[in-house]
Amino acid sequence: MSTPLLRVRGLTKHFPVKGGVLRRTVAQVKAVDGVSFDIERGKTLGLVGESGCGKSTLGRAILRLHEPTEGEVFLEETDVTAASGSELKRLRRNMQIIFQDPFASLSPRRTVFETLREPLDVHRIGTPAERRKKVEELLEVVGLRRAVLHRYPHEFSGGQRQRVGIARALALNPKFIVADEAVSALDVSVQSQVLNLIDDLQSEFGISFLFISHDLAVVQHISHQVGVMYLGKLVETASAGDLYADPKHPYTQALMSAIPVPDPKAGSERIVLSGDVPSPMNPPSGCPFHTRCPAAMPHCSTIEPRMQNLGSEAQPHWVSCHLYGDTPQADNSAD
Amino acid sequence: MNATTTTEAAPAPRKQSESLWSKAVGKFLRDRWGMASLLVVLVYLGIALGVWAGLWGTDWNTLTPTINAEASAEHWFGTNRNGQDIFERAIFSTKTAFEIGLVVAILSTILGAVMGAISGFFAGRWPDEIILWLKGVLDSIPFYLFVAAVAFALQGYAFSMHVAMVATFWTTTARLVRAEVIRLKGFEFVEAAHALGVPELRIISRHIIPNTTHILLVQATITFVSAIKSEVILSFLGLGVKNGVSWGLMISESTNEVTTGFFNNFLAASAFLFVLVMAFNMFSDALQDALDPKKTG
Amino acid sequence: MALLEVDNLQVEFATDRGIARAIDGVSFEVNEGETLGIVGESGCGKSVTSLSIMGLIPRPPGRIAGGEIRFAGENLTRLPEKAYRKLRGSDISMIFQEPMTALNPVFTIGNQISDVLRRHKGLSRKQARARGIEMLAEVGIPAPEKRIDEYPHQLSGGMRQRVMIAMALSCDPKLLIADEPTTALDVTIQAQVLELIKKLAADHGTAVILITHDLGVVAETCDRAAVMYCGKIIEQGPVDALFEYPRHPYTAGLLASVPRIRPDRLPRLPTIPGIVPDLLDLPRGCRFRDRCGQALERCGQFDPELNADNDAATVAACFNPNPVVTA
Ligand SMILES: Nc1ncnc2c1ncn2[C@@H]1O[C@H](COP(=O)(O)OP(=O)(O)OP(=O)(O)O)[C@@H](O)[C@H]1O
Ligand SMILES: Nc1ncnc2c1ncn2[C@@H]1O[C@H](COP(=O)(O)OP(=O)(O)OP(=O)(O)O)[C@@H](O)[C@H]1O
Ligand code: SF4
Ligand code: SF4
Ligand SMILES: [Mg+2]
Ligand SMILES: [Mg+2]
Repeated sequence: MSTPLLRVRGLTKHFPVKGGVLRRTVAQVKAVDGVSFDIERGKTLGLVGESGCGKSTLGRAILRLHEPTEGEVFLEETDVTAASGSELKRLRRNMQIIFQDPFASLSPRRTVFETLREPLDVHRIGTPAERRKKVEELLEVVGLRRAVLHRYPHEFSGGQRQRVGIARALALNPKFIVADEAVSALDVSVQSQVLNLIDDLQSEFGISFLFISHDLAVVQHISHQVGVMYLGKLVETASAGDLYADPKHPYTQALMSAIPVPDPKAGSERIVLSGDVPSPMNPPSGCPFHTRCPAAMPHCSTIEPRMQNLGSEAQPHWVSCHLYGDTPQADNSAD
Repeated sequence: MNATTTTEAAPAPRKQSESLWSKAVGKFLRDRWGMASLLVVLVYLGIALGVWAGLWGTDWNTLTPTINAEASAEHWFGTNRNGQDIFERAIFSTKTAFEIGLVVAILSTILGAVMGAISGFFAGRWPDEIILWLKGVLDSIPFYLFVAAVAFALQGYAFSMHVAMVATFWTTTARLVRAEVIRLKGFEFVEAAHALGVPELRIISRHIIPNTTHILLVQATITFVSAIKSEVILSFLGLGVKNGVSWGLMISESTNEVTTGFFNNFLAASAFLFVLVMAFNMFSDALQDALDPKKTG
Repeated sequence: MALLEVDNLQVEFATDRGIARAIDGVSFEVNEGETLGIVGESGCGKSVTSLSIMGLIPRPPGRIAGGEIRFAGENLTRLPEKAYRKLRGSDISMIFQEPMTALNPVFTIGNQISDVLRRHKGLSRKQARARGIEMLAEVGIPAPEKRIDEYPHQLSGGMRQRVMIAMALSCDPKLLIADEPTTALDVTIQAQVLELIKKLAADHGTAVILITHDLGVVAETCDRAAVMYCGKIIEQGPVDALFEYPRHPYTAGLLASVPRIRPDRLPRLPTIPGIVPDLLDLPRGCRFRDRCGQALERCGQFDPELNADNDAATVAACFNPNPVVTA
């Protein structure tokens, strides 16, 4: 097996919470807390979890749109977290992002052409004539007509804007793209068009994706690997097949059973969680999920579970939950 | 790969590309009151340009023997107590007003835009702190006191009034621009630019400032009116126009005349001022409506 | 007679580019104790339909251009505003998508619930408070006697939505309209809220109109459903039949393109080609024609009406519907 395209190790992002008259830091929001994973070349890691669990922050910290507090990110051999200046600029050609909001992600006063040409200008790629040609190619790749070149964003539907956003991310031929809720704002009939487009781009250009979504069904469709996040931590990762066939973590199980199925005959045995999501400013001790977990045991509130592989070496299935593996020892306890 | 493997997204149902600007212009053209006010403003501008070109208003300083004459065919608005033609003076003052309004509006808008953009982009960091502090200081000094101080400091310098006004008026523009920039900074298109490696200065100049132009335009018109109104008060207080004549100076002159029951000078200057200020305010409102993306249909 | 009968409703909006007919001849009924789902994609007119029933269409630019809305036999389209105000909150109430915008941030939730109760039920201050606490307990808010004195921003999104439900149900309405009540919520919280609406509707015998773009939500909570496209209902019927044997090509396409968890990953998701047409620039004939794979000659000339086929469980507005399957 070759080395993965992207390696994330112990990535952490804490946001300071300022308070008081002196605007001193009074607390930390632990938005992302020690997350590690790999993404293989040409593969997609789907990332699911509830609102505020840190998915977007994780994606942005990988791209250095947020400065990580701790941890390392390697794109091939390059240490992304250590890069600066011109090296970072060069790295940016290889990692891109597609955003959620089709209305906010394009500058309202620039035409499609201006938006798509800018990355080529900034990185001095080709002559002006070549840039124009490249922009036209990009439009074709995302399934838009050349006639839209000089249109403004407000003249497009949500799905079309999303295509322009995807074209912009492709302009520099990246190897890795973070898709942050890229289809969440779209209607189902358009959503499926854009999902298919992303799929096609992957097979065509061999791009790796971190596909962030709160929709488990969308993630299953698009991903090879899936990670489940809860309160800034990854609690389970496995291949899409394994995770959906045999979810191990009680949170993953609850999440899956909560999805409304568009089939009235599917008798759902729903695990309805009680309680609300705790605040990441003040996460529970021990297992972060113990306040809502239907399977919680006494030691869950004091001892933090560690990631353990319940699968094989070739087909790993990582879970952090005390229900599996050895009974935890007190000395494993996190501070 | 080509588009055949993806579903062709149908084109938007529009024949011609239409920028937000052309949309705003179209909207303004349909605003009857906005167009009427623009017409009035253009008439004033024509008067001011004519004075510049020396087509009219040339006799504003010519003394005639008839003092405080009533309106006649020769002196449309009569003459003042020096025997100068009031109509000529009011016409000439239009140029003075435009000079002050334009200079102050343009300079304070540019200053406000730059300061506001820097302060918003670096919100919470030192450049912002410095600009905020400066704004705080300027805003805390009473306007007329400040003007008097500047006028005194720049003894006899013809532009002391302009300097004082620009130094005061930019703060409002800067505050609005700063808020807008902070809002825009959170937009995903700005993040996308960061992700593409676009340098910060280019992000400010190409992505952020162009999206504040609607604020700048409206602020410029508001500042224009404020400047003209302030000029009148400053000139009345003797802190304003030194060379030439202005509506403020005319009103100032008229204070002695009105006690003797002669109102021509006062009325002429006030009417010229009032109509321009009203028209400009209406123009500014219409502009604001036309540029408001929420109200574009 | 059904509790609510909407009959050939037409709603228009004046826009810069012309008159947009956002609702064009919509008819449906809701019976007591029944839950009707209205589904469709963004802009198809779901919210406008619900606002019309509530008498809350902004006028101008909107206006009801035709049709009737009969509630317990009374035509609401001609009801004077004062009588309407009395109806809203007592006999008909509504839950909105974004609970934060529907709750007043400067009053405690206790104030807001008691206000409704005192206005419509004539309770005293003390009675209203006691009833408010009861309601909060019923919607599953822990420590309701403490929560009642908190402000909306002190509650989580799911709790706020539950407060909205408590307020909406506090006067025992006969009809509850819920416009995307769970769209802003996480799936786990959505499950709690839907469960709650289902239970309360059953307990109180309330008729519910549930508006959503999520077909899964409809399948799990509704008895009957209506599918809207471009201001028209294109198919309606019992949920079981509608989801199993959709007759209209749009319903079928929509159902196929919803990503769902499947044992095997599909190589490609089925899609509906093209995009929804502009309301001001509708195609002639059937509005779905440009995207329809089974269009006939006739589809370009005439607008299909909702048509009951003797054997079919659902009614569809289509000249060439999918064949009837008898189970
Ligand atoms: N710039 C910031 N400053 C302070 N806190 C932040 C900032 N950005 C995010 N957070 C906090 O970090 C946590 C994680 O936020 P994030 O946006 O990553 O969540 P998410 O999983 O993407 O949620 P959603 O599904 O709602 O997009 C949240 O509690 C959020 O309030
Ligand atoms: N106040 C208004 N002025 C002009 N047009 C309006 C107004 N309100 C709604 N419309 C139009 O009516 C149509 C239907 O809108 P409606 O809000 O009912 O859609 P919806 O089905 O609720 O969509 P969504 O799922 O996005 O909430 C849209 O085309 C919309 O543009
Ligand atoms: S560690 Fe305990 S509380 Fe956490 S998920 Fe597992 S069983 Fe539940
Ligand atoms: S009426 Fe014709 S075009 Fe419309 S949905 Fe039916 S078959 Fe398709
Ligand atoms: Mg997010
Ligand atoms: Mg709606």
